[in-house]
Amino acid sequence: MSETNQTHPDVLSRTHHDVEVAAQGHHDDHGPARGIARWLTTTNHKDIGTMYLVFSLVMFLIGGAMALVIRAELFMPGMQLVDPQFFNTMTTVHALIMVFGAVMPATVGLGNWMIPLQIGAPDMALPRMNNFSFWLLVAAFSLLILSLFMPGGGPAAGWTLYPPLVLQTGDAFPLAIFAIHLAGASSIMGAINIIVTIMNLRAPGMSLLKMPMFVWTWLITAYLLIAVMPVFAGAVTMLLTDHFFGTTFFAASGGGDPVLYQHIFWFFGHPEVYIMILPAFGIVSEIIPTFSRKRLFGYDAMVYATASIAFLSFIVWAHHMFTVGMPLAGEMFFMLSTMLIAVPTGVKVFNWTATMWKGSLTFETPMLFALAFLFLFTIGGFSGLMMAIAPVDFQYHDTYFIVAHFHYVLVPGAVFAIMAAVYYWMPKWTGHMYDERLARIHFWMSAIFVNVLFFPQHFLGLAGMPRRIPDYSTQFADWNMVSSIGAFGFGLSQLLFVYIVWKTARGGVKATAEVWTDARPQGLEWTVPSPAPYHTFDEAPLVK
Amino acid sequence: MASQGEPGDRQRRRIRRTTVVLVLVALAIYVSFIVSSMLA
Repeated sequence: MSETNQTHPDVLSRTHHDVEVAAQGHHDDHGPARGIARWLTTTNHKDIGTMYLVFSLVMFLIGGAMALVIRAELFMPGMQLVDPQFFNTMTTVHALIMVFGAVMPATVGLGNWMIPLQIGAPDMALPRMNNFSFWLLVAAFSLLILSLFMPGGGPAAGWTLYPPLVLQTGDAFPLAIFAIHLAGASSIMGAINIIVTIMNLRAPGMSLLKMPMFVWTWLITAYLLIAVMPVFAGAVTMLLTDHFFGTTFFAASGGGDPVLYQHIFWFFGHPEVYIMILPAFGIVSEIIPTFSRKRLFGYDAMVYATASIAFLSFIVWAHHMFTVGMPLAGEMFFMLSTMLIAVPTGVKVFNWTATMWKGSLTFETPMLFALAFLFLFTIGGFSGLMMAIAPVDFQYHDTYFIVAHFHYVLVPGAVFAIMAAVYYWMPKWTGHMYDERLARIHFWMSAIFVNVLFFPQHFLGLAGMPRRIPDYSTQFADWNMVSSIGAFGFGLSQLLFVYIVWKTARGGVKATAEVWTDARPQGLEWTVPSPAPYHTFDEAPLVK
Repeated sequence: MASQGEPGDRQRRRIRRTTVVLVLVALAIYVSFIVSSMLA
């Protein structure tokens, strides 16, 4: 065991006592600006973190409303509410909003709030760029949503934007492409900011292997973002030139190849999955130790597992396109490399479980969401392994089984982890404890309805129901009805979440600096008062 | 202990260097994927 490894637990366990906390010495003399100017011009990481989180919640509700349009149409066989073109627009824009507008900005918001607090930095390293990247995102999603009202309707070719279908989009096409470019630029700037902050502004004594897991997972995620967001930007730029400037990157008529787009897209698209899930891993790695009253089991292994997952995410992309046809050696390679991801992921699941082993467990709402993540994300992981098997994937491809799989990974996976993080850190942000009784009701309603919503989609997919189709054979009627009931129940539950957040922001029982006092949470963020002052760590804390 | 509020010159240079390198990496990836698609 390395020296670093030996010293790590001691350091973190002493943070409450040994850190020369400067947080209380914040600038009382210059607080936030007043009114709307504060939010437009702020360079404060806490303000920007809050704006990202509020933005992602709004997007979550808009994207969720689109999901309910989809599920309402699919409640019964036959065409009920919307025409097929609009249905396809809903599946496309729902996905784009949830991926780029809800999940990613939520993790960026959490990163903005917590990374400087967890590494003892006074702010992000590039605060003005931080402000710019947030407002760029607002512009991007305003454009994307406005594209729904263009002649010909919004983009309807699926979030993957495959040519040649996507090239048939009406006037919404350039708006959607521009929106994606802006969102991508925003993500890249956010990622640069996070890397520069973590590499340059850590408190003295905080070596890389003493960083909290949430910081580690975000550091690796930020590298992934810088590596793959330009790839997606390149792909959509080529779509744009194919559409307007006569190039034929993806048109067979001019010597191009539509399958090339799929390769480029999924070279971005698969790491994108980990961009959404790695910060969730970091959140769960913070919460489970706290409510188990133990240190994280296998900290170093967790770091290396995260890095391994990130590396493997670059060499598995073609498992999304087994059915386009590729050499047998290619199918074998992508099948086996995909299965390999189960190893580091298994290390993580094992370590979270081992952290709880013989721990003094309590089940506050953050822990409940973290545990639900552990069980339900693993279900999504297992169905992912099933799809990795190339010959079997020929049956699953483009069916509702795929829809079930990635929703298990992203909803009770990424979204539950984000909700766990909000409940865990909200008292630090607002200075108030949330209503535990309401939060538990929110948890149980979400956990029950998310399974009612997505589990039957496994059955539908295995029975052969295709995805992205507004009508279906009557044999699929029963499970579709169950799934739609689950969707409306889940949607309703999230209104309770909005109410809990609003109520906590307005008032409630005062939170202490440690918040979870009897659990003695580890980390520098618990050494500053609750709510965290506008300026923290004006002087560097010393991590021994 | 020195104030963290204002980064020192050395720290400022490191921040600028890291930022420029990362921006160039992102641009290089963007351009290289388009150029290699042209050549494919």
